[in-house]
Amino acid sequence: MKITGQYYLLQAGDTDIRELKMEKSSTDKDQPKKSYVKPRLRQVDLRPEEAVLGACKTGSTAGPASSPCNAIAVGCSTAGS
Amino acid sequence: MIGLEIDSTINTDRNATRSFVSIGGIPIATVSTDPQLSLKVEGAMNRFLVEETEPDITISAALDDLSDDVNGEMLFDSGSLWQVYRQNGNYLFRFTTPHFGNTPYKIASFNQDFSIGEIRLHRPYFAEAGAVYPLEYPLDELLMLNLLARGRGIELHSCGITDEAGEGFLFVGQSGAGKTTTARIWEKMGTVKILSDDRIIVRREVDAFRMYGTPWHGEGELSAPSSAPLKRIFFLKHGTENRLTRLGKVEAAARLFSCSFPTFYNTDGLDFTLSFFDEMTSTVPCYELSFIPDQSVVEFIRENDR
Repeated sequence: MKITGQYYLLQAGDTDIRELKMEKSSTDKDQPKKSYVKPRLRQVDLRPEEAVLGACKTGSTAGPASSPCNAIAVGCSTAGS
Repeated sequence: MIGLEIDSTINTDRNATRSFVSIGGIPIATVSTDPQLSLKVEGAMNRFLVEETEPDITISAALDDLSDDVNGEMLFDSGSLWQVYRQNGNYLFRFTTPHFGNTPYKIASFNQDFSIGEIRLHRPYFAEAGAVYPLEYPLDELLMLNLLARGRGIELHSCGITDEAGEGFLFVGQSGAGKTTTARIWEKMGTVKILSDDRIIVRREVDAFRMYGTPWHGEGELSAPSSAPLKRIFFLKHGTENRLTRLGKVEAAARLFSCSFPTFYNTDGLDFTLSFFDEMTSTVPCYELSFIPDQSVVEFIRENDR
């Protein structure tokens, strides 16, 4: 089965959308028809500043808090752990 | 750019001119090609130093006089310290700070498959700095995310713990979810190993998934260059009782995505990451763990794991 597209945010009950995309084969004809579950979109709670490493890690980490932040005084104070 | 030829005879002090680290089973070599630039490794990264080996990527580092100009298409702006550009088929990461204005303090370029890299450090900023760690955060982690996105694995905002049997438990959550708290509770057991209290790499083995410690730890400063087969995934949630809720794979995949560090500027990498989560959630049991922050949660998990 070929999987296409980004399907993670599309949810029908707890059925992966791939199952909804299956091509019919001869054996499918013998299977009972699945009940239709309306797909729904699920919003993923991203925290951009964490996801893109936009914030500095704490001073205790191997990060800019220890070199660019201190050695060359890069303005970097937000904890990103 | 990226015409890398490594001359190890530039400086006879081997320790100062080359360093090898291995993170997530991926060896990285950094080589100074500048007689004025001595290398060092900082903080928890020291735990990940390895003997000289065949690296997945070799990166040269040198001082240079950088300018404000970057030729190329901007692919992504982090909104903070770095931006990434596409230039002559290479990826170029430009690091700036408000303290110094628009002149970058560092530029790192990588070829298409991230097997060769080049770091240029702005001479006026670094000439008097003594030994330098060219992969200074966030470059080291950005590099790892790009290496992983090229078919190697993923990194999660999570705490990884190996139990007495050598099996791995992954506690996933964004900042404030309780990763370091969880690590400290388990650490008191004395018989487990904390791979990291903030960042864990997961890679696919032949018939299983394996989690790896990273140097990018949290407030607990807990990290180890070890790995373990991944047995369970728990999404952390502060609660008034210890409770496990089994998650469906779509729900689990969405939560994993929200706690990952996708290369938004690389379509193939993003596609790989999503496919990886598909496999992970099909193979590894995923739960929401509502927990009380004390020792009782350890026994609770152990009991449910029997």
